Amino acid sequence: MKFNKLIIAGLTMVSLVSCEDYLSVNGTSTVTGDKYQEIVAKNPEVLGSTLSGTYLYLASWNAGGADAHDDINLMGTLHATDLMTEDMVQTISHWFTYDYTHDNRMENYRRPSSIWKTFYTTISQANGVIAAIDQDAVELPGSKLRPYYGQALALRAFSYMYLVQLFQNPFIGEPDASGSKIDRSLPAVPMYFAKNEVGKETDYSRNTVGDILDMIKADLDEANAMLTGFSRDSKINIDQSVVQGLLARYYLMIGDWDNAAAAAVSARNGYPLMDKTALYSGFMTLATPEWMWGFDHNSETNSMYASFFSHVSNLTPGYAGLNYAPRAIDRRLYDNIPATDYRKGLFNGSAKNTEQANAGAQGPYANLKFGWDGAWTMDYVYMRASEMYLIEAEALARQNKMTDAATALKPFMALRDTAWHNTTITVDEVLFQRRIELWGEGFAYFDLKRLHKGIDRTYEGTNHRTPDGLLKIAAGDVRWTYQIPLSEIQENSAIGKDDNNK
Amino acid sequence: MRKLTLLVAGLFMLCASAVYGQSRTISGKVVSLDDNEPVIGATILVKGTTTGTISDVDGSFEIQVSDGAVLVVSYVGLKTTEVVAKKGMVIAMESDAVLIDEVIAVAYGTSTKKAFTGSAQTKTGEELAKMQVSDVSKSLDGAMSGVQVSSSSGQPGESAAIRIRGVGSISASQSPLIVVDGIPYEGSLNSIPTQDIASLTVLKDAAANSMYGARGSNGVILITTKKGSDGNAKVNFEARLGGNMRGVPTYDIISNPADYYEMSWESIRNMYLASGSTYLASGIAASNELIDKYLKYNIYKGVPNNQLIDPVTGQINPNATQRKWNDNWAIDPFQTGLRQEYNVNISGGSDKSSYYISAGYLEDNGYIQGSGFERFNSRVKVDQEVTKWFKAGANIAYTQTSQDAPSAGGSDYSNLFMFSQSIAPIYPIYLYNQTTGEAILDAEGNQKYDFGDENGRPYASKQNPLSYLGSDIYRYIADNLSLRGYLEFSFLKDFKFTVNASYDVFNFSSTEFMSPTNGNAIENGGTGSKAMQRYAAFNTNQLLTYEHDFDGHSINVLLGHELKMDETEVLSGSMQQFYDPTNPEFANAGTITDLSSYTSGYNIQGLLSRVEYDYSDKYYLSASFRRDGSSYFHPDVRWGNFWSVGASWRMKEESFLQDISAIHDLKLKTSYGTQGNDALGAGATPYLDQYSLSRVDGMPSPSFAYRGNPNLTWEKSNNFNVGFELGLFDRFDLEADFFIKETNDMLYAKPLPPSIGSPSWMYTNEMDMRNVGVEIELGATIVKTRNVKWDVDLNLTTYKNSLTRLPSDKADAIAEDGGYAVGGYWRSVGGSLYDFYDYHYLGVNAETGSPMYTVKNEDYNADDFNAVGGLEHGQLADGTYFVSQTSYASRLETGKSALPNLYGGLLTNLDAYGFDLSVQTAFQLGGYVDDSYYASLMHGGEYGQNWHKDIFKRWTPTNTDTNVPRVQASSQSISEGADRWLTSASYFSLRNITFGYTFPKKWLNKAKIRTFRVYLVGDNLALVSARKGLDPRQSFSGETGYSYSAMTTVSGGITLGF
Repeated sequence: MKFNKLIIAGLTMVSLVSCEDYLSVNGTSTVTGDKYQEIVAKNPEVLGSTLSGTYLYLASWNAGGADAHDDINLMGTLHATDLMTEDMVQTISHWFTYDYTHDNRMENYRRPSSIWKTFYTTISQANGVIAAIDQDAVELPGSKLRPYYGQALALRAFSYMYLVQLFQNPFIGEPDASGSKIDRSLPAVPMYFAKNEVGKETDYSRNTVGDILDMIKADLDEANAMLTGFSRDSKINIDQSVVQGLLARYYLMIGDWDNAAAAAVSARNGYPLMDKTALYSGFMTLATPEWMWGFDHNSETNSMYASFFSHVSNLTPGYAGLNYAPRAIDRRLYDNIPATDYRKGLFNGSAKNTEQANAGAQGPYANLKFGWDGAWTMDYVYMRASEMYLIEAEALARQNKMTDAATALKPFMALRDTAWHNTTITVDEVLFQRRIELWGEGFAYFDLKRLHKGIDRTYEGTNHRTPDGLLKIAAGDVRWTYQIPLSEIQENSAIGKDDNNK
Repeated sequence: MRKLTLLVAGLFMLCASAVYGQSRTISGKVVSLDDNEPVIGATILVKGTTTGTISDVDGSFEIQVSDGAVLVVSYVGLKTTEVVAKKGMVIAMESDAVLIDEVIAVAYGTSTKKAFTGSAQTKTGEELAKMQVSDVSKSLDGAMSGVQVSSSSGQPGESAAIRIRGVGSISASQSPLIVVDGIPYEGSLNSIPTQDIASLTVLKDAAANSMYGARGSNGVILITTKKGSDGNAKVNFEARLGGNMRGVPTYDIISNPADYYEMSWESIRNMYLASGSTYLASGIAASNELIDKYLKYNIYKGVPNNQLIDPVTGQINPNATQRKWNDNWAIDPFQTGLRQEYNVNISGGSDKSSYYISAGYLEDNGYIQGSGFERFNSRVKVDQEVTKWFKAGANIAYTQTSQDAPSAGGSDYSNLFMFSQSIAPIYPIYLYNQTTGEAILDAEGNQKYDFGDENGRPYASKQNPLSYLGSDIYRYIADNLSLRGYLEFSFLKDFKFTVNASYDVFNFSSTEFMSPTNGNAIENGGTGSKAMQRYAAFNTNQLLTYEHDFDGHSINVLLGHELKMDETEVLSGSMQQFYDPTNPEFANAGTITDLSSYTSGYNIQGLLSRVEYDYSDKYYLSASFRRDGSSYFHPDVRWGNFWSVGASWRMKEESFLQDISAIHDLKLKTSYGTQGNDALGAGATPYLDQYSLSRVDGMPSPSFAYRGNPNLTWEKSNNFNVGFELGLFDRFDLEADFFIKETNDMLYAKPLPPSIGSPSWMYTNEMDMRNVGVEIELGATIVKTRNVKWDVDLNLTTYKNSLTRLPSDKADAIAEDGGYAVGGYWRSVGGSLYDFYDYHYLGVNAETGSPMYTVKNEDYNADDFNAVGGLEHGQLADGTYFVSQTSYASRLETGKSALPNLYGGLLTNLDAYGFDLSVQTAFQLGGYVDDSYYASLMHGGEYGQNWHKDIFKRWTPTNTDTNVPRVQASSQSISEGADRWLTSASYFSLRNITFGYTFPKKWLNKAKIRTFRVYLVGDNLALVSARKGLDPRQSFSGETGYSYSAMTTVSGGITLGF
């Protein structure tokens, strides 16, 4: 009977489509976690591309997720802190204005949150790489995975080095009983490890400064070992020289002068210094032989207006160049640069520079250091050899080896100021060279903090912005330290609201 | 009415016979009260005799009566009427609503209103078509109880968000399921023209929508498209022509340049004061720098820049009277957009088949340049009874929509709606010589736009959103093909087997192009993005029903299976460096900046069953059970069970109510059941971790992008409903429902500590929530005579939303404070989902003009506060501690929720002598919105940014009794986010007025025209809210933004049928 046939046909249809497989659907817009694990397990060398993703993350924007054009991840941190010092002038109020006026540190503001997320996401991604690597196998000297492991550790240490200085003020003016200028007992930041790291436990609370410093040191040492013999394809990757550079920074920070000098020398080995031509080329090419580490932007990776160059370069048609908020050098610092020093030419003088096309580049003391390549693909620099010469010289001068210090700095100064023939040099003179050489590259704030110095922008003849830029802030002032972001306080049960910085 | 009349007429004509025997003959006419049309074939009997007659095609009759005789007039579907016989009498018959039971669409079939145990509301296509919306969702505002509508954008073609019985979810979709002609619909509602809709039914409770278990937790909207009926072919033609205008005005911003200059001067003067200068020195500095350093533009002729404001008095120079330009950003960009709409349909059929064919065209231009919506639609629907036991039908629709939708959201400067209200009234739209005020022309002699860069405008340099509207392209084209069909087999007397299937295909192409001639994209030589998307959804269900009646018992059993699979395929890319600045295609560009493609899919299947039983049309019971599996969940947890039970009792049918004529209807109903929700929108596999890839050095580089949760499973809602329907005096109808809707194991995007790294959130099944509410629908027929009919309908909904379970890890916080904060909301057991948590604004410090915010006693630390430069703090007379910056203040529970206390609509229809007038309104009482737009207009002194006129009330040394702090440039603490900006969300909106005239039949008959109506219609005619410019309808969560504000539409139209 045909009705029965119909029912059978209908029921067959029901049973046919009821099979479970039908409910498993794959999307192809992403790589799912299990697929990722499978690919990595089959060929762990693809972890190199995971690291590239992290390097890209540091050089991109919007870590805070609010689409703010001043949220430019690593460079945003460096630039915001540069603006908190005396050396850089934001001539007109715009993006970053509250960094310049020291009013951007509170828990509910965007800046602490962007910085926090930038570094903790980097840490999380580094831990992801570590977690994908067999701990025992990577200890074997021949393991192909050592460079990935080493880079991940270095990125983690790099991140904690910033976090511990930004979310605490570990530096005290006078040395304590042990001679240290660091208070290791102060509360710092949460400490995350990969799950497979033996004997290391993630601690969500505010670990002490000492614990964080020890972790940085351990990670850098291990990274140094892991990266021995690693020859990188691109300077976006960290290699052993970069780890030596990070160690030099670390030793400089904690005041271990011998090791600082040694690491700096080791780091810069093989990197010729920028000469006048290079200095005047806009600080935008990773291929510059002096550059040790940075990021190589292209038309896909650049973030245009929301980029470092948009804010810092008066020659770029970005926020600075369009005269929204040009960046200038502090007049006092500029005036102290000898006329014979090539670096004086990286800035306008006291008069208006009408030769420049961009309105932002015409103002007095406007910086011309950072350039424009015509397509928003300017590269970022994170580390270069000059810094290493300066670390070595400072470390030597700190030990009262003034002559050695001068000798160490000689090759560097020869390419900066042909009239420089000093045979001895003081710590202050080295620090002055640091301020000029590394202007705008994200060092000034960290130097002030470790040196326990304040700022005074109110001096006679100041070119700082009137009136809101005219600040005088002492060392140790709460304004030098960010509060932990509110979202962390709210969601991390190990940090209560009373645990935040004042 | 006429349809019924025709149907029965033939029958009676055959057996009609004239009866004689009395002395006098009178003539009269029988008409229907509803439409004043003649009733053909009504039986007219002389009471107490067998004398009678039948009315003819004009409704006329002649009958012989004796004096004082009473006529009894009856007709199927109309109330039997008794009248005293008179010469030339006109007998108006009322329709008998109880007799003709309304057929309503329900899950997997139809039901009658009397038999339905659930809670649902229906709107007819006719009612919906009054609204001039390009998306039907926008016509539901205030239309029925339990339905809340939020319209975030007035852009033509945009949909409104719909919530049924309150917010039902946190992170998963809160939108109802849309079902068209029995099958879930996957596309945008803007592809279904209202003219094709026969009815729209909203299913609200468990009994009504548990059958859609898997996806029914947010309610279900059933749309039934029109079909043909037997009889001669009918043609309907409709045309509408009108215009669109801005529906919500701008905020009350400063419009006089002099006022703006004075206020800016004061804010700069105060900045100098704050840094320690004297009043005089500060005033001089402010006067000198006002234009040259800060504002750059001096709109007044003949007044030197540094003499615009008197440095001592702060007053504008009296010579500042002549302006260099008269551009007005707040007004000039907005124009009237044309709206035209034409629809034609042909329908007809025989007793075995019916057809409906329609076509339509809509052009709906926005009120800004470059914004509009165009639709071409066509539909063919055929139903055929092939044999006695086999029926089949098909419904094929093709719609093409084309939308031009320039960026109108967020705080981007290209958003004209933000820009035009935020820019100070001193800046022109076009470029002028700053000294002479002479317009500057380009090579073709057209006025050049002012991008601000040439003169250093501090507000949005390099930007001119009006210029982009002409050169940038934001075009979205969709081809929607919707195929629906069914086969229905009847067998073994009581059985029926139905197969429904649909295939919907949406091809979507988008072009976004920023011209190299403009703002954002100059340096890149233009930037363009294109995307091609293909979305195809296959839905089918197979239903076996058994229906049997015996001895007053009636039973109906349904067994079924349903499956749905959809697939999305996307190809997208971006390029820069365009050669021809008007051509957005990649063939015209040089540099690739992004290229991507992917596929995604979603499958679901369910087994369903339902039993319905009723006894003698008095007692109704229903029960359903359904089991669904979703591809969104891990195989171990993907199946969910959903069920419902319902009962109703038609009390009016009981003997004790039969004779109470005051009550014409009384029904009680109750139901309980569960539904699910899986709508996450997190890719195909939300239970797995996901890595997204970027290109670095030509190699793909993965980054962790999504944190999967393998335990993720159905969010379930339990719904209880009890209600009644009551009809009184044939005039009043009252429906009331009480509901409890609980959502358990809510799909929740749980925030994690950001130190865990991005992404610092994860979906979980956590938290429970409850909505308890009452819905009332009240209908009243106030006047009902032969020529005049006046109805008023009121619907009201009130509900209370409360959280009943919080995330487990918040236990500590809960113990301490009774709740915890998430973003700007406070979450606590008993509190609503959107309870604002914010800094509390105490007003202005009368001595300094600084704002004051509450600091909790335990957070107050004078020593710490003293260490902060410029921070004011202290204690008020009532003991409250205050501080002048929110960073040091305490966030508090504000006791204010974004959810309203009451919402509803008042609708009225008046028909008189062929004229019809209807008015629809929508309103909301209670609730708060964060008026962030107003906040941004109350800043302390952002150079070049406009102020709301409330800034005139700011604190000054002579105006200390105020609620508005002083102005001071470069001070972000003057105007910070706080409960100061929470504003009442109550509103009243005049949603629609329609006024029409239907020409009398007798005029039209000669021209062979069946029906002809002309009308005028206006949409969104007025909005009353707490503040001019504020539209509280933008979101359910109390957020407001710089959106394309709602549109007022006024049109005239005709409806022609023959």
